[in-house]
Amino acid sequence: MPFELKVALRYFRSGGMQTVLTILGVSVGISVSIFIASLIGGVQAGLIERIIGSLPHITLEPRESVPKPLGDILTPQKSQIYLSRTEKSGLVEEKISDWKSLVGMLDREPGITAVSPSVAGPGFVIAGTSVQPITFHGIEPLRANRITDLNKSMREGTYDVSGTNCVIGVSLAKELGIRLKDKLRTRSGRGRETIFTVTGIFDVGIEEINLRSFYISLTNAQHLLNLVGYINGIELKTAEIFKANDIADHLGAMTNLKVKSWMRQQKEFLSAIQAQTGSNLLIRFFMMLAVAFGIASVLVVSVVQKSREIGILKSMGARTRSVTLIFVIQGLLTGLIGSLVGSIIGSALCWALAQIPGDNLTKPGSLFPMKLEAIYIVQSVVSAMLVGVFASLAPARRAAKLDPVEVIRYG
Amino acid sequence: MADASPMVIMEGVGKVYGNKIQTRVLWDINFRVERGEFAAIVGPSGSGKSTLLNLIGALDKPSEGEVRISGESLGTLDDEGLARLRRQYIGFIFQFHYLLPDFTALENVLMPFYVAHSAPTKREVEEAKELMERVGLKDRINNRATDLSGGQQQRVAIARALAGRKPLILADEPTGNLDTQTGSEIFRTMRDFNEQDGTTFLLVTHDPRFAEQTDRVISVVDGRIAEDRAVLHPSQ
Repeated sequence: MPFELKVALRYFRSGGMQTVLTILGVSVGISVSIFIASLIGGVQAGLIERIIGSLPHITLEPRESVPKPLGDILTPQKSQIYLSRTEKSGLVEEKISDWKSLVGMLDREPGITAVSPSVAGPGFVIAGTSVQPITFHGIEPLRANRITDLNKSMREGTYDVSGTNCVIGVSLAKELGIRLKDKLRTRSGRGRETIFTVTGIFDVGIEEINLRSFYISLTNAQHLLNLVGYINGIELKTAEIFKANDIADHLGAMTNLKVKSWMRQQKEFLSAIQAQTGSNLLIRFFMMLAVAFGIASVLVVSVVQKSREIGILKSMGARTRSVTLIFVIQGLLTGLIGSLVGSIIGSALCWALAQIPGDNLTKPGSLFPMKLEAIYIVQSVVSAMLVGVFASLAPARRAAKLDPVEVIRYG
Repeated sequence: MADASPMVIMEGVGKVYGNKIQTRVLWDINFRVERGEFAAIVGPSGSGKSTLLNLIGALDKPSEGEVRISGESLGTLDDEGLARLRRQYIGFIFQFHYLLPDFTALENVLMPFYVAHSAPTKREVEEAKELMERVGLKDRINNRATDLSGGQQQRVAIARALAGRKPLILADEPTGNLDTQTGSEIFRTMRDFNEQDGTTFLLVTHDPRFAEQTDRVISVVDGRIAEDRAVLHPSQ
């Protein structure tokens, strides 16, 4: 065993209560750090699941047709003034052709976990005298389920849009008094009508989707919206949701389609998440700062207590580097052992709190939405060790500079 | 050859402490100590004995003049060089033994080896055990330093100073904190090592009884060498 490690271990052990209290101080800091990270991580994961979970991370749409301004069409005459307004025609078709090869290409694109072609367009549900505006969503059910996970959100019936079957939200069902197996007459914005049978009623937790979304097969939607052979949207899920912007920009350049990323669509939500992440980091930073001061103060005392012994070691020819290393190792050991103990306490605390029954904002069943991840523990252990080393540098340097003659004579 | 040179050479050595307010402790010290000598440095308190010992021990540098240990001039060495010189040539024995209390007696004796190159070799462990046997503490090797009597601790300190076959041992009042009987035993132990192994000893002492049992007495008064004489023993 190297000399520096041997001496550091012996000093560490002989510290007794002083060592135990320092380790406990580090442990408390680390356990709180892990607890805060797990709690905020759990809240964030719940919120993301609830708000972004049923939405695509990226949507590809056809670029809008831009009608030419009148001024480009008419040749201006002298002393004549034209007043004109450029208005988009409601009848301009926006569609994606050759979509099957595009979907195939997106399937192979790294960072994308799900691709779902869709046809969406406005329409109405007519039930007796009630007319409810809806949005038709023509989907390939298996692909679409990987985006919205509708199957998991079914409250009644099954997730089946084959033939003339449809799946609707709980709010629409309630609004129109619809039950499973009811027949619904629908009309698209193109004036085409189809009767669908309700096979499933879902609840994704977002009122707008529960009320407006009307899921049918891709073929039926293409027919209703006069888009046979075409689609007008591709929905994507990304492996890392916070890379959605980068991937969207990349796809926009690659496909020349209009891309929408959830990060740009849900800016307020994103900024709330970022604020949470920021406060999490801030709290953990100050925890580490407190840990650093704790380790440094104990090592300063240790240097004073051991100054005569340091002088003796120097009189034997101990190198300045060795003396420095003895105290750096002590700082490292304090950080390592304290963070390991703190990780155990923090993990136990997270587990215990997750067992308290209740309903939190994001997930029913547990009062605290804890999400303990191995990375929090690894981060805490590594940062505590680094903090231990940095905190020990000043006392270690002080020890290394001790004059052996002075300390041997005067202590 | 380095081994042929005197163990210690002091040439015109002076020492001044302080920058703004300067205090001169040593003036123009000149002497040499040959290998295998057993000498005492005596003088009243504050005369500069310990400063002289620290200069010889490469714990301090002279303000003027030259100190040479086994042919190496201290003035040419940086802090790491001085540390290397101490590891190589010099063992210290202090008045208050200063063993490391967190280590056993044997570990204290092994400490110079740890300092020099981390883990001691098997041969070095054997050497440390042999030294412990020679200072009469063979059965105390695993005792904590704090579990030994004052005399035993000082014996361990002697063994520690000698570990690594150091050719020069500097002892600052080694018997000053011991009763007469124990002090005599400690003195005898050092003398044995000198006679049997040829180790050079320089002892700072207040006790004229011990000083007169050495081979040479260097008397320091007010920072100057007042007397440097050989001691004639009855047998000589």
